[in-house]
Amino acid sequence: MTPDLSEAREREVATLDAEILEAIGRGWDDPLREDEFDRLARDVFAHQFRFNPVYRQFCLLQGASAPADVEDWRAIPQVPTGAFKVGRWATFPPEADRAEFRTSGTAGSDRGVHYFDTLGLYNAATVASARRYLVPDRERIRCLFLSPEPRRAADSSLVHMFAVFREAIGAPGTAFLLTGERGASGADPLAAALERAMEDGQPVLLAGAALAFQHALFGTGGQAWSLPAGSRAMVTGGFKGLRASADPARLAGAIEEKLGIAREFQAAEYGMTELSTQYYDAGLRRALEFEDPARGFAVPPWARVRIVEPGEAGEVPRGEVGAIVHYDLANRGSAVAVQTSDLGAATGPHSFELRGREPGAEARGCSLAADLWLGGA
Amino acid sequence: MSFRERETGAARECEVQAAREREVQEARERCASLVRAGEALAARPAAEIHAALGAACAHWLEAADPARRAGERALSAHYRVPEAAIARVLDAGFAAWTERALRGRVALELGDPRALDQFVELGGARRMAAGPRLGVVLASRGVPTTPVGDAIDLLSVKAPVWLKPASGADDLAARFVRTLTEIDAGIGAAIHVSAEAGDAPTSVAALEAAELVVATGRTETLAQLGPVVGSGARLVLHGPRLSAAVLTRNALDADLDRCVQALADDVAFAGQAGCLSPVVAWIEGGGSQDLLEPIHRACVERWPAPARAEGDAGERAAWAEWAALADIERAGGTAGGREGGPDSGWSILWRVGPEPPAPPPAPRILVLSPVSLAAEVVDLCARVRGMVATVGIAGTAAEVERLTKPLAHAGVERVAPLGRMQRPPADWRRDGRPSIADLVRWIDREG
Repeated sequence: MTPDLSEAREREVATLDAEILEAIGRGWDDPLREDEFDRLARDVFAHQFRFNPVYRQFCLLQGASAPADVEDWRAIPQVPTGAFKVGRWATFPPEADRAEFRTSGTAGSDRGVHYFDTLGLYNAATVASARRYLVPDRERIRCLFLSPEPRRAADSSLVHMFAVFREAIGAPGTAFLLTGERGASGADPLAAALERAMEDGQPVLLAGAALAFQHALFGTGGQAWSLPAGSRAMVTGGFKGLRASADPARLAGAIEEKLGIAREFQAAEYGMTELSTQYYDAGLRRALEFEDPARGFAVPPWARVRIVEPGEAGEVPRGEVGAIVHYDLANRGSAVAVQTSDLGAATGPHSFELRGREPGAEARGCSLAADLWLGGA
Repeated sequence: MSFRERETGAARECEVQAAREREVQEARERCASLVRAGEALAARPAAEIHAALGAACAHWLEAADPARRAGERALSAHYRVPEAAIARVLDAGFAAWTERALRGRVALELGDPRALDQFVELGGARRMAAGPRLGVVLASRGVPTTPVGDAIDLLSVKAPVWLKPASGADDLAARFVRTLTEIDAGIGAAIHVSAEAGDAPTSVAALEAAELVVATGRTETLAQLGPVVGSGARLVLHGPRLSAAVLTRNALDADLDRCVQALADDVAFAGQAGCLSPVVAWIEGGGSQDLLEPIHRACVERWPAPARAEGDAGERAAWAEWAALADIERAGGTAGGREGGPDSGWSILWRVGPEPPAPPPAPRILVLSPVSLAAEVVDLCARVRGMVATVGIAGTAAEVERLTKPLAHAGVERVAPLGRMQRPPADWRRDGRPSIADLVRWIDREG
């Protein structure tokens, strides 16, 4: 990138980031109006068009020869998640990298990388959503993360998100529990942390991937805890694909039975490494007696989700199944419009639910049987 | 909730529980019945069983056989392809399982053709091989004949089988069992094709009773099978595999059309559903994007699957994302043209450079990847070591000879002529392992 271009990029970044941060800051109190979102989304698109030459070529193939050709945020050419796997997908040069998060990978498939030149937008979006959907009733809460410490999983967006939680909403006693080590007493860190929370009478937010919950809870034999009132859980992933590996209903039952966290105090989170914004179901928020109109995963005001007929531009009617397309302003450095093969259905103007199998789980050929068997399909 | 509502709800819960217990009891009785049938099989000469299995397969090779005709019609409706496409799959699948091949496999893998019937001199002792008391097969939703093959493997070592086809699979296995029962009721009594869901109490009861479980699945899924099978049961697991094709410059120069047809034979077999269908074809010498169109056409001819736009939402979404990614790669200069859009059931993509095999996100996708020299494919296979089931080669005998050993060292499990990838022999070492030696246990008699 030439010095002139680099300066131009930095000027645009400064302007865009300020506007996006303001949008996130306004949050749900003063949400972006449709015209504001449209203008800002197209500005981010124009930035990505200018500073990602591959995206620019792709847009040309899609019939958009200049940013002005896109007259509505819905028409922004969507970047498939696979683009994060096949090459560097960023509007900035490698020397500007501040962080990189990697998608989980399976044998024979590459891992995608989401590069960031700043984590400011990501962190702001993370905190805003967490405050609204995990702790609307309090400033801080003791967080128990079923994950390794950040230094041991620096490329995990989930672990980074937990690190942000720790700083923004974590109360004393907050801990990462998958240390791979036992405490001085030889106790399992999770069991010890749960015992301590009960002794202290302090509510906790227990957060982790569905599989981590499963391993933690189904590996404890008959042991159970009754966590203090106000305790809550945040479960992410495992809602798609291999259902037996994290059957949501079974897992929710186990969390209730073994931890004493009622189902309405369990929040589901849906995030992707390729995005900077997370979605939460609003059930926990309502259980804490805060209003929220969303049914299913709520889409925050700085993002949009469209459920489209796969391979086509048009949306399917509300309630019908289609492919999920994300529009995330906080993805300023990568892709504002992200196309997935995840299936979902709109449940409201700013909410959706997941439907069907995780496409990535649909391994081809001689590899499906046991997955389906375990899934009980 | 009123007291009456609670009472009604509790009564309903009791009824459901009672029905579940009845189902489990029935499943246990079914397993016991299979075990008894297996004991009867164990008392019979293996040759008799192999003869019956071979005869049943021979029926399914006869184009005019009523069971086969009905099977072709049913599978044609299931896969939404013409009966001729199904016929090719049945012909290839059943051809391998002749009585002679099944008997030969025992001799090859167990060291003596009589080893399943009596103690025989093997190595330093007298030894006999015995199949499991009950084998459970969690079959794959891939090539229709694959679950049949899994069942034949177990029956051929005199083991009774509880076969659980994948959800949404065709019913070929059940049809084959009917043929088998007509030929030999004793063998028919030793196999049950389950229609229940995988996590139904009945299936769980079968797994608990199993002495051996054969399962196919993703690595991480297979790892979770252990806790749900009975203690002491052995697991024979088949993880995911991919296949690839190599077309050498000599083969292309000698007969381009023959290469295209042979490649399509292997790729389009059963709609590319099995692990033996190439997902990438390496073109030595660079080749030309002109290959896209004839290969696409040949695949459509062999397995004219419905257009993408007519697939289910999951497949349409996966394909749409793949197609968008192909456009991204084209924009980035790493991919070239593509043949087959939403109006076709097949898609062929041209890559600019060498590409290791990778699982396609949607079915019926082939990548054509140019390489300068055929020898480069060895490194490409090594990059996904343990994943490559078969490499099919169109080349001269000398070229095949030069490539075979390096490919073996790169982890490739089978090398076959292009056009014959879908026709492995009965004693094919699937996943690089023996097909029946993994299923038996040995009893040694010393002194």
